[in-house]
Amino acid sequence: MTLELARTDVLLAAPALFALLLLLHRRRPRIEPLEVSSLLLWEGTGDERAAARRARRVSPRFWLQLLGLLLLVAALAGPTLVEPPRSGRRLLLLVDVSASMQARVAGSTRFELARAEVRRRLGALGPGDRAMLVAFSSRPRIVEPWTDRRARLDDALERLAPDDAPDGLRAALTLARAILRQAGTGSEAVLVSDRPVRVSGAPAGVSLETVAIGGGLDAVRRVDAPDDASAEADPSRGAAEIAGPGPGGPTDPANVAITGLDVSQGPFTALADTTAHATVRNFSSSRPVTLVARSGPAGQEAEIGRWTATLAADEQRVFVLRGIPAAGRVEFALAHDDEGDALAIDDRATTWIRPQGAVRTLAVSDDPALIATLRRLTEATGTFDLVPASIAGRAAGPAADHDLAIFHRASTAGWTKGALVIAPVEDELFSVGGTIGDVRTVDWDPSSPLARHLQYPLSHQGLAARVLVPRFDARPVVRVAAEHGDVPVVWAGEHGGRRVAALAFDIASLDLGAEENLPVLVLVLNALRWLDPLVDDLPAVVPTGHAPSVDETSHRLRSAPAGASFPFARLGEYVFDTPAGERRYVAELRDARESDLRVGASEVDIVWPAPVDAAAPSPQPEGPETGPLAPLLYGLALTVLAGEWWLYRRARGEAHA
Amino acid sequence: VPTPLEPVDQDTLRRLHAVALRCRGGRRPDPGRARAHRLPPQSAVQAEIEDFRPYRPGDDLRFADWPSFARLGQLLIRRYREERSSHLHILLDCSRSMAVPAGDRKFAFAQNVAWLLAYLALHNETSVRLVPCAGRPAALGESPVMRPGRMGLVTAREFLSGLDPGGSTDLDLAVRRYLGRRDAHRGLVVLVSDLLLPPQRLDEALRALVGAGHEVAAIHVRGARECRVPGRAGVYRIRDAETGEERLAWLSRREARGRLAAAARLDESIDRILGRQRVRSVRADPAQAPGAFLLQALPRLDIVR
Repeated sequence: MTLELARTDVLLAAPALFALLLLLHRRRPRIEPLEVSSLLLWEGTGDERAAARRARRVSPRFWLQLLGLLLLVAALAGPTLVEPPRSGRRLLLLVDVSASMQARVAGSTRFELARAEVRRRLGALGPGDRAMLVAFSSRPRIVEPWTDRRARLDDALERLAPDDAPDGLRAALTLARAILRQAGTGSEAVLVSDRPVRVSGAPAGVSLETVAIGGGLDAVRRVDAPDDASAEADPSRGAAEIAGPGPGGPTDPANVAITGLDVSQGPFTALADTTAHATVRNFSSSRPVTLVARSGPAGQEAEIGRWTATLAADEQRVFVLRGIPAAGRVEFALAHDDEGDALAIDDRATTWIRPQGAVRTLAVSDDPALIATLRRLTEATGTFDLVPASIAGRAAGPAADHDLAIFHRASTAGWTKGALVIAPVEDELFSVGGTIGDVRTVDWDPSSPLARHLQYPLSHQGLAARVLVPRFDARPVVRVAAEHGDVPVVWAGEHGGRRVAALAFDIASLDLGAEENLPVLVLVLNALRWLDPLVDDLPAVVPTGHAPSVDETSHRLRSAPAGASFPFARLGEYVFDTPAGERRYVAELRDARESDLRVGASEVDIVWPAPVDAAAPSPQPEGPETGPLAPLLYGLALTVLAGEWWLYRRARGEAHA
Repeated sequence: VPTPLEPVDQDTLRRLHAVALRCRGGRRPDPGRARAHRLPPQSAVQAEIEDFRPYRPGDDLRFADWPSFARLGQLLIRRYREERSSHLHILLDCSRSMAVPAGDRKFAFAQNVAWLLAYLALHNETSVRLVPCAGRPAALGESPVMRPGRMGLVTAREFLSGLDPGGSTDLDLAVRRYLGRRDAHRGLVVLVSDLLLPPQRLDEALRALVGAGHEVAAIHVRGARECRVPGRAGVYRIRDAETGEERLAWLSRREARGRLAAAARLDESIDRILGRQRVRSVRADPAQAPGAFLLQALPRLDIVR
């Protein structure tokens, strides 16, 4: 181990500091005067010559100060202990912990087989050899950094368990490449996975061995199979297969999975017209399948559908659920005994049916034509119950009975829920300016929920609007290019924890049924749907291994399945606290590749990715014995100077006492 | 800077008034007899006119007040206050050592004790002589006599307040100079001092006082900080406040026990000398209240009845 300094010029300060410190100490009086009432009381105070000799000595505090300053100088020089390359082997173990590793095989699981294989590899390590353990499902993670302690590796291996997420082999290989690049030449990597994979393009000086965990474990066969010219040049590369016979053989695990579940429910589709489509796929030989649909809250489900069919090998069939009796949770499950299915986590799928017709909408307007238009519109959606009110009458009416409100040329003062404001007046939400004329072009923000399905060019004719300046956090959705420039005419935002959408133009005079006004109709319907308080309350179903658009600075994970991590590595319900309230996600395995447990079914050729994936964790330094010494020296310097300060304080305190 | 005398609280005053000082010729004041007819003093110079009365046949014409006869045409006989034969001599150490270390306030304590002693004596119809030893040059040789009465109290207070410690304790010289005075009547001598002087000189001074027929008592003032080593260990140049003599020494907290032993040895030596000269003494801690100390010390000094 050698010591390297980042900055040697700092060391030149050491002699100067020493001289300065010495000068300061020399300037301090070494003999202090003490006036006493009589020397008769101070007889026998010792030898004067000895006292004079002591006066010439340097104080211990000087040495402490000097030591502290020298340590600081040494720390500033940035010393680093550099360990010379070790002579032992370096073995990187990449272990697949994806969902398919939970598949039951011959009384065990694929993961247990993989663990036994890794354990065997660790047992073959000699003294001085080092190993690192990396597990990967959708994302790779370093379970144990480089170490030669066998016990730590064994403990880390024992703690490991398969996730419910699909594998992310490419990200794992990217991380492995970065690790091996730091480790230097002569390193070995072993990839233990149930996915037969041939990796090409390995870095120079690195040997990669792939171990495929497959069907039966009757035989462990090591196959040297160089796949290209570069592999031939590196004879250490190869592949081993822990498997029985080839794909589709008698030892292939049987698995039937729900690979997809979709709900066909338009924004304003009635419950009776809503359908749910469950896709079931047989990944093994022909077998009967029973699918059951249940509805109701967890623990109180009632069966609402049952299908029985015989699926041929690799057949995929869609089962349609109609006549859903009530909104809420709907669960599909494959009914079969556990022995007949190797992977259980893909046998269930859950979705939610959005409730309808319960949104009481207050429409505040003095224009009967607009009220009639809105009534026709809301009746067509089947979602909104319109309650009209005059502007004068609304002031006296209770607000708590309504879920949202539409204000037409009326002030929103006092309203605390979601609101669609049409042709706003001056109030706490908007400052209203002049009228826009001569509209030339119209543009909109396609990412806004209010602009969904807005494919038709907006009519210029009806957009005689006024200039609005929002007094809250609002984003423009639709802009028009007028003679005065680019002016937003549709706004959407949040004010005091409630959603507010605003149309700067008046739609009272428009015939929303006319074709040219269809974009305005879409805008209004999108706005109403966006304001619908029931929509956001439903949990979102996401596949495991994926991260929904969660703002990690404002979203706080409140509850999650045991052992789960983010992104969702386990099946189950994840609840986040957000500024807008509670947000729930349900993670499910929806990955046909993970459900296909047949040996060799998903065999892939992959080129080892070269660039470091930003999403992958960066490799850790190898251990505390190498690395910068500056923090340690800073700590020591501070300790020494603190000791010197303590001595000074004590001496001063005693002197005062 | 001269130290102002501390005010005496009412309780201490009340308790002091109840004390009867026992010194040669002293007696308790008797207000009922204070104005009784008294014999004129042998020395008219020292006498104080107390009253007049009409001449009666047989009166000594030496005490006739001729000026009043000239003004009034009536012959009056002067009546004199009785000249006290009891005397208290307070020898107050005003050397530099009484001011060191400053935190002990030894001199202020000694000043206040001397003031209370003088007050007590004057209240007991005993004349008081204050004899400063060392101190500022103006005080050397000054030894005013305070006689009972308001003026005596005022004089004593002003004189004590004006004293300032300085110089070395020359007790022997002060005693000899004082005993050489014609008006150094025999009486009770109270020495208020830290007694930090060579033992043989203390012995000689006490012997001279006792030999002159005085009854001697000593109040030995010893401050708690006098032999305390500094908190910070190091090499110190120790300087005698009176003689200016210096000594180098390494002092640390371990030295504290040695200093206490040295002080104990010195005190033992002083006590031996005081005992040999039959001088009653009491040791005083200047941190005490002077009044409370004096009330406790007087019986031990055996100067009260």
